[in-house]
Amino acid sequence: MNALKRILGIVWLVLAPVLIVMMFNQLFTEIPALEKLVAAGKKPASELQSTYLFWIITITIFVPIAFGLALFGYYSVKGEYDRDVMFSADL
Amino acid sequence: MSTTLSNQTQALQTQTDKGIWGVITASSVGTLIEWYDFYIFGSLAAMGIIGKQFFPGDNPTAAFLSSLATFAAGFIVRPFGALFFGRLGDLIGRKYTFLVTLILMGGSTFFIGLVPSYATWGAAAPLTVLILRLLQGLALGGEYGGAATYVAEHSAYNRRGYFTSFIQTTATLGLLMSIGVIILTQSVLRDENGVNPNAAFEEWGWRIPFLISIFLIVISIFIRMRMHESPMFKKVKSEGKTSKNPLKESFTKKANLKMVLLALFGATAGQGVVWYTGQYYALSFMNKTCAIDSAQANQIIMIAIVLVTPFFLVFGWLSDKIGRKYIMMAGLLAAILAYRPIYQAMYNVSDINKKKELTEQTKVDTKTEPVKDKPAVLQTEKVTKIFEDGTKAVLITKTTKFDNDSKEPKIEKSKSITLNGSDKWTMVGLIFIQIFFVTMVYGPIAAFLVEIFPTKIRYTSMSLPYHVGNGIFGGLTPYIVTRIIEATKTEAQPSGDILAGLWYPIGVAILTFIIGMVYLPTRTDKDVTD
Repeated sequence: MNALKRILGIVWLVLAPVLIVMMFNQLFTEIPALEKLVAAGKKPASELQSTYLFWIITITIFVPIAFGLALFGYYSVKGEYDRDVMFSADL
Repeated sequence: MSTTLSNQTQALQTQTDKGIWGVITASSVGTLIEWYDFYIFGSLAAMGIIGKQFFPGDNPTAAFLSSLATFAAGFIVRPFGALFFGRLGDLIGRKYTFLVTLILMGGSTFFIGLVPSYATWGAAAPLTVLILRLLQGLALGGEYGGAATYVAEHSAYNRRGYFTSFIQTTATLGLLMSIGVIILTQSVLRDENGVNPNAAFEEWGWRIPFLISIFLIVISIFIRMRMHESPMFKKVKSEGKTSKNPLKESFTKKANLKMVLLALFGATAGQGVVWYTGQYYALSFMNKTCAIDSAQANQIIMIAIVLVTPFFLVFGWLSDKIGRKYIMMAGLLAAILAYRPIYQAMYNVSDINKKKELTEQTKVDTKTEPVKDKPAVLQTEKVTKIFEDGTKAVLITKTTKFDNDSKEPKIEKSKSITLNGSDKWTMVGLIFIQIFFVTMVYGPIAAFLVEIFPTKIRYTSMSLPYHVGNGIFGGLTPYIVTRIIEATKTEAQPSGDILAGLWYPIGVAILTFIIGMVYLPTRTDKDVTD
């Protein structure tokens, strides 16, 4: 089980930056496409505002959480979770 | 470390068992009222009323998303409330800290009920609501951890899961109470003969649930004033072992920080999305996607909650017998596998395109009236359709025609479906299943969180992963899911992929399930007096 924990640690370490890249990629795809539709009068300007708002909230919150996931992965790789630490007195 | 408890420890953990029901009642009532306060806003946002009242009306979808964003803001600040009040709770004690959170929550809720609408106050209205919503979030961030810790620190070690599960029922019962008050207010103000029977409620009646909060808070403060400090905290304090800086100890000490991360990714993140998908998003889905009459949708959620709530206690009790981990993980796995079929079934139940219309009973009413203070007329067409199975659909088209012919008419369409008796119970069943998953992942989690952190930093340490998981991962669920669905809308498919948004809760639940299964230990910490 400890080997699995360490291998998965690598997965979390890789997954965290992948998630961040995916978020920015989606942001840079969605906003220009929407700007074109708003300029063409096919979508109201308020939709662009709500899309900006969504991405500001998402990136502000989930980028630090992704760093947390990377840290969790790092601790896993280092074997910090090898022993079943569950009792608070162990801490 | 020995798993056998010393006589002194056992005595400390069971000494107040005689008074445990008083402790549970006092803690639960206050927490229930805080959840009620917090969820009125969410329930009204899910019904689209907050959007109509506090945001510009030129685009109903944007207004709905903005109201969900304000709703989400309350969740985003919860971890900050957890840090601020958690620190206070570990320094000065549990009792006084959650008295402060109660007053802050009650005051904010009451004032939301007094804020003028966007039409009256302009941009100041959404801004004020946002500030009050942030205060609500801060207060709730400080409340839950305190209540769970307080009850756990009074509980016998072998009944901790059961006793803390009463605190776990409060979030769902707070939602139930908020919907109940909304339904009651709606039914009192309902005018069956009007074009929109809920017009009075949507115009001003929605303020009532916010305003009555002040009475509930006064009662709760009175009850909590009579509570005593937690025996474990008193012991730690008398020995001079309280933390000098709980924040520093919680998050800069690696041994503790790694447990905070494990609690977040291995338990609370998945729990949060399951909680909010099963209750909040389900309500939003019934209202917005299935277009079920808001009063009926609320009634469906209420019935399901009443039927399923005892299972919080069942799974809390069971976790004392077989451990917390596998119950929580089973709930997550069930949710992962069942969400898409359940939501497809919910949509099918309410899809009028699949029902046979009794065309001879179709009724069309048209009304034309001048628009107040504008050179325009409003034409309202109300089509009432009855279907063979007893389902009723009301389709309203509002067309604003401007005197200036060069300006395009503004058309707003809305639909309201009232399900027949059998379909209504099918819907109750589908919601029941989702909340059943919630009882599995949420029932044992308070005991689980209490057990992995020591007394002197417990309030701070357990509050943060709980509020990041439940508040951020979970609380943002309706917002993110709705946004994903919006992104799938195209000219060819104007309603988008209605199930696409579910990949968010499913993805988070999968992550938590894998981490929980691999990393969480199965044993339970009997001694939380450290």
